[in-house]
Amino acid sequence: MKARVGIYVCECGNNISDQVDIAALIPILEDAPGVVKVMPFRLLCSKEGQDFLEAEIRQEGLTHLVVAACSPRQHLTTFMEVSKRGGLNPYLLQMANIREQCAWVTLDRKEATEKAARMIRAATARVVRQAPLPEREVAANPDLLIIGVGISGAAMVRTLAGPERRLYVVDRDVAVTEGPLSGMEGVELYGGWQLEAVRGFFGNFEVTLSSGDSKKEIKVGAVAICSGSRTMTLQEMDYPGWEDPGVVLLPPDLEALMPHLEGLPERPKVLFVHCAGREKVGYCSGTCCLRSFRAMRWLAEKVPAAQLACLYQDICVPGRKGEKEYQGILGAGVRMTWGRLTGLSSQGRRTAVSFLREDGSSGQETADLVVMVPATVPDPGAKVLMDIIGADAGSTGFVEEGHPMLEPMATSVRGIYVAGSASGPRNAEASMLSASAAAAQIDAELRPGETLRLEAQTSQVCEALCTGCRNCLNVCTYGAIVYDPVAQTCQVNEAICRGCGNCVAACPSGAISVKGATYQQILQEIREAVR
Amino acid sequence: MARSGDILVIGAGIGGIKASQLLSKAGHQVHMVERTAHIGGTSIKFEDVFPNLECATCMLSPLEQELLQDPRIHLLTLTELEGLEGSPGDLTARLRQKARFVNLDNCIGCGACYDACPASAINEFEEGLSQRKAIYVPCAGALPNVPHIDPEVCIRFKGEECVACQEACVFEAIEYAQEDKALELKAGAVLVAVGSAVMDAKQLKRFSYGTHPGVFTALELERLNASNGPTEGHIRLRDGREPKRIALVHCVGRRERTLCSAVCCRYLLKFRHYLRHKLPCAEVCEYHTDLCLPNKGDQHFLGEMAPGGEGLMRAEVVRVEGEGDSLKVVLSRDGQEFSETFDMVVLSPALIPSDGVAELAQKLGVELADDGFLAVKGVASSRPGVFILGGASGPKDIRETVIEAMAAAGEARRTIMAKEDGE
Amino acid sequence: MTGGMGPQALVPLLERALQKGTCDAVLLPMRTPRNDSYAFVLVRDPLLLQRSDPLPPVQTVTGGRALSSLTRHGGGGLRILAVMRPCETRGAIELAKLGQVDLKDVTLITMDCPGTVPLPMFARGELHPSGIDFSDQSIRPICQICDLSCAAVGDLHLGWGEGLAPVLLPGNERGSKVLQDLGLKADHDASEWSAAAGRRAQARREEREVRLGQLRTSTSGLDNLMVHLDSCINCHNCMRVCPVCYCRVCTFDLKRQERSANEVLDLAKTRGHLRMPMDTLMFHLGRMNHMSLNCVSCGACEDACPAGVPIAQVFAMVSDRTQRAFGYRAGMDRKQRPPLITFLEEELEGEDEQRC
Repeated sequence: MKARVGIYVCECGNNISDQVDIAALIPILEDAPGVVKVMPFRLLCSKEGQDFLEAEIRQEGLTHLVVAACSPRQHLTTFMEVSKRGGLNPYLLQMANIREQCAWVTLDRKEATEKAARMIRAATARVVRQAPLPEREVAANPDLLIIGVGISGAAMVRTLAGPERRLYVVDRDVAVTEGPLSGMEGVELYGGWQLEAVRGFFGNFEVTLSSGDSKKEIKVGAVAICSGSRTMTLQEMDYPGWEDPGVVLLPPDLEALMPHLEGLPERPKVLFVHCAGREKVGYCSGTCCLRSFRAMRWLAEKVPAAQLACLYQDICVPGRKGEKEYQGILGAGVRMTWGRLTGLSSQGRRTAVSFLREDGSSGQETADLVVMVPATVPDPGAKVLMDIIGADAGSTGFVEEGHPMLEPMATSVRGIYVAGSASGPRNAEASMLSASAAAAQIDAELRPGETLRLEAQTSQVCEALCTGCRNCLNVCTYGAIVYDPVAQTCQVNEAICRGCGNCVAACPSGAISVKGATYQQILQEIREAVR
Repeated sequence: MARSGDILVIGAGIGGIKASQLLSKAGHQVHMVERTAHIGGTSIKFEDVFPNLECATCMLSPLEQELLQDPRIHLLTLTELEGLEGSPGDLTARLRQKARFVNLDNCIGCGACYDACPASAINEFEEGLSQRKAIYVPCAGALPNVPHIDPEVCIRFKGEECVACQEACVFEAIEYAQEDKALELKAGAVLVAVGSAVMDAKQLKRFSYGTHPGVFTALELERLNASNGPTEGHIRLRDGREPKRIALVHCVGRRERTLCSAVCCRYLLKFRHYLRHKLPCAEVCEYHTDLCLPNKGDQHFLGEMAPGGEGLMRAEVVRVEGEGDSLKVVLSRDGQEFSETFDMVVLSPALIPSDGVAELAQKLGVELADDGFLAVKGVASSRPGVFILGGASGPKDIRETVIEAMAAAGEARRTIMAKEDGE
Repeated sequence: MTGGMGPQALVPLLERALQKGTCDAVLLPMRTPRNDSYAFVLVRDPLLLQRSDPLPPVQTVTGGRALSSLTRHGGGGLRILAVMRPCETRGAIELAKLGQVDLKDVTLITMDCPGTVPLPMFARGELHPSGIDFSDQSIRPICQICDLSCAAVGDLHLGWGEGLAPVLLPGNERGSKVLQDLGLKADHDASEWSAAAGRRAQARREEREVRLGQLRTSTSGLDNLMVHLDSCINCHNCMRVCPVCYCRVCTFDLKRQERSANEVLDLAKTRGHLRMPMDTLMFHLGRMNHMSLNCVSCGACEDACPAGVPIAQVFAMVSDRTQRAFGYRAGMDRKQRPPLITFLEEELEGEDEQRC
């Protein structure tokens, strides 16, 4: 079918027409191959403008549309909708930004007009090579797999359980099956089971669970990783002398400290050692200072005669509550010493704590009881989990968020979410909050009964040219490419592909291309622009 | 099965934006109320954000654009809450929208009116470092890209016959006749995302802010560094000189407010990156008492910004005194006092409750905490159906704000769905 | 000299390997029966090994390519002993990283290489030695600057040369196992060889710096570069014989590279004149862009060029720089992923200029 391209040049009030001689443009543009109509218009984005364009598409029987106006950032969506309303596939539209990229930045009117002519002709050369792209939707499974039933996992179950979606809950602890979550509507508990494999994509995951020799296949739309964290053990921290009986780890339940307080002298000196294990893990666990201060407060009440001291490297108490506690313990006379722990040893019935000061000199303090405040590390199962899922775990072993600021509940794989302390040290309150956030996001993105809109401009592989070198697969950040060992070529999963084009750049054979941004389309656009 | 109930979001900073977008995705109609004429809140003042030093504009602009084009999000700028009546699921909000005097549909943001306007005033967005006109947008790139007229500055509103902006506008977008409006909205739940403010460093006289020109606040440095800022990204002293020795001071106001503002250690380290690039020959000394780096990637960030601890010193800044053009910074360490000379001192003033939050709390019918922030349990305020997120309930970074935004959105939805289920 | 104390000593080893079933087949160069040339042959009958020459004086098809045609679709469990030069082996390793060679059941055996003579001269009988020694000056220019000619990149490596007791060194567990299977002990004292190989490599490294430095100067700027590429006839032979050019159809042979007469006329009009066919320079620059990070400087391209373009040397000049920028040397480290698909937080260090 012969192309019938319509070019519409927006005056943008006087924004464009002041600098670009639109009247002079028209004969140049009418000359371009495939063009059947060229018209200026005062303001194409206005209601009148949009109605006008819609009518033009129908009346002129346009097969392609070029809108020379402002930045696509501003109005591409607008004009794509206009195309749709006019019965034209929205991917047969091309915008030429003759405002921000031409009128607004070119001082000389003649130059601006010349540039505009080139830009619009280039857009025309491109658009005639564009193919209509279907906008597709795929059915989405609203069910959810939750891995790990600690604080955040349990909170997610309670928030999301309901008649509209099934929740599959997996935890390596067998007791979970008969635990507090049993009997909830739509919740299937798999205590003593683990994740073995995940295939598919957001909205359509196929998951294999295993327990010993038994296997179960389930289908879910999304997965939430709630594998949590734990504190380092004394053994892991491995400070010289850690086995000394006067050294204990700060327990989650402070009552567990009581047995260690028995048999101590009347005015026991208790030294809290902060930042224990920090050098080994390479990060500050953020939650321990506050935990330690609360423990100090508790201890001061239980054993009023106790002399409390603290060895620390940084006090990290962000937010409102922390500073109050800190100033409270300072006010209560807790002695704070800056020092990096180097070792522990017995000194009679006491324990000696050796440390390095900031100036490099050594120091020592003795105490009747040394309470180590340990670093938080990811759950040991997290690494295997991330390998199976194919999501990123950072150098710390914690799950990497999709975006450190804007997508804290997502991971690098679309449809796999993370909540609680699996993505970083978090106290109970913060874990519950993050579970609430993850549940809210899953609820909004995977709504029961709704379909998922897929990206139209995805990449595709030409099998005849593909050598199966997997360069594309290796550079795809979305995991949207799979290697088919039978065909020995790569294939694109259009449901995951975001059309970023990394794969196109990495393929030396030219075997992969992004729909709507093919080699010919771009080449012809450039050629026309520089002619 | 979509169940929708309208939700009111007060505040269009990053928290309000993320919450609104989540709610819109879930099918709700969202009414966003923003006190200023633009969206983006405090985050749009930054050039880069920690810890990965991403370009703030690149991060925020796409979100802002999506928000402005979202058919389910109804944005009301220059609007404030006057009162909130009713019960969760069935709330009525009374709002007051100030006149913009510019038609949002007609204006395309060409900026012809700015040049024409004869009246100027200090630009608050630019921390007073530059001027703006009576008709203005706070900075290049602010969205929506539509100006408003400040009646306090505009000479027409003082009785003079001036139509300069109207004459300059070819889109007939200037409307002097616009009036403030009283509006009423029905909503099922309310999210409060009004952010925090920065303490006025003048209150801490010992730092000489406001008395000596070489003392700057963090936000002033952000705007100096910003490519869309008053100096187009050149970091200069107020008289135009390039500073050679710069001191960065942590924890300003921490003790006075009994508050660790959570973000300053990280942003001061971020400033090391700004300064390294903009003023590679300058010497930078950073004085801190503790380093608050709570996230898993922060120690690594520290290592990148201050390799081997270079430029960092654990010492408390006792006072900052002017000495001619220079500044004497008096420090205390292990009980000993000593001093160093600098030409620029950058302070990190504590984050405090947002301006007018006490009045807002009253209008919302929620309690304040004893330090003036909005009282919360998680994201729930003291009033059912009203949720608080982000800086409004205490100093937070963007990440924690976004987590709270999504949690609050989820809670709001549950409130509405509980009502619809016939509670 | 080849034969006797040199790589010929490998032959009985390979025979034994086939007889004992240590491997299912041996891949190595053999003298062609009808024409005095060489080719890679996959041998299963140990008797035929008598005609083999593990280190021919000329490089015909590169070993990596031969291995690729054999194992590209998986070796199917076929255990192969492949004998080839270090540069050919490095080519095979690069291909393995690109999914074109499966080394799972392949044992690579390399040996010190004294170089080869230019293929066209050999084919025309102008230079037709039966063997090459380490002091031979008639070897190809690309061989004269090869600093990896004694690189022990194989699973097993034979070090040899004048006045040296030959040593057979396993490079890894696989190599050790093969030696064990054959009832051989690894040579413990390789210090003499190591010193000799080190001296050879050093001399070549210096020569490489000098020659490539000169080439860099003489190709500096488009005009100068074209002095060297002017004789190119666009036959694309260099691409065809290159072991690491692995595309099924080179992008430069794709239809999308063709231009309509109108486009060509337009271009000619703008510039005043136009060389036909058009893509001489672009082809070479494009090929450099695509595979300079994988280039092993085997010189097959220069051997195959009918127009005398010193293309191997030009590519070596570029590849040395591009690979060095990423701390990569093609084919040397099997575990190191190609730079194109590797993401590091800090890349291209040292590229920033000091501004203060």
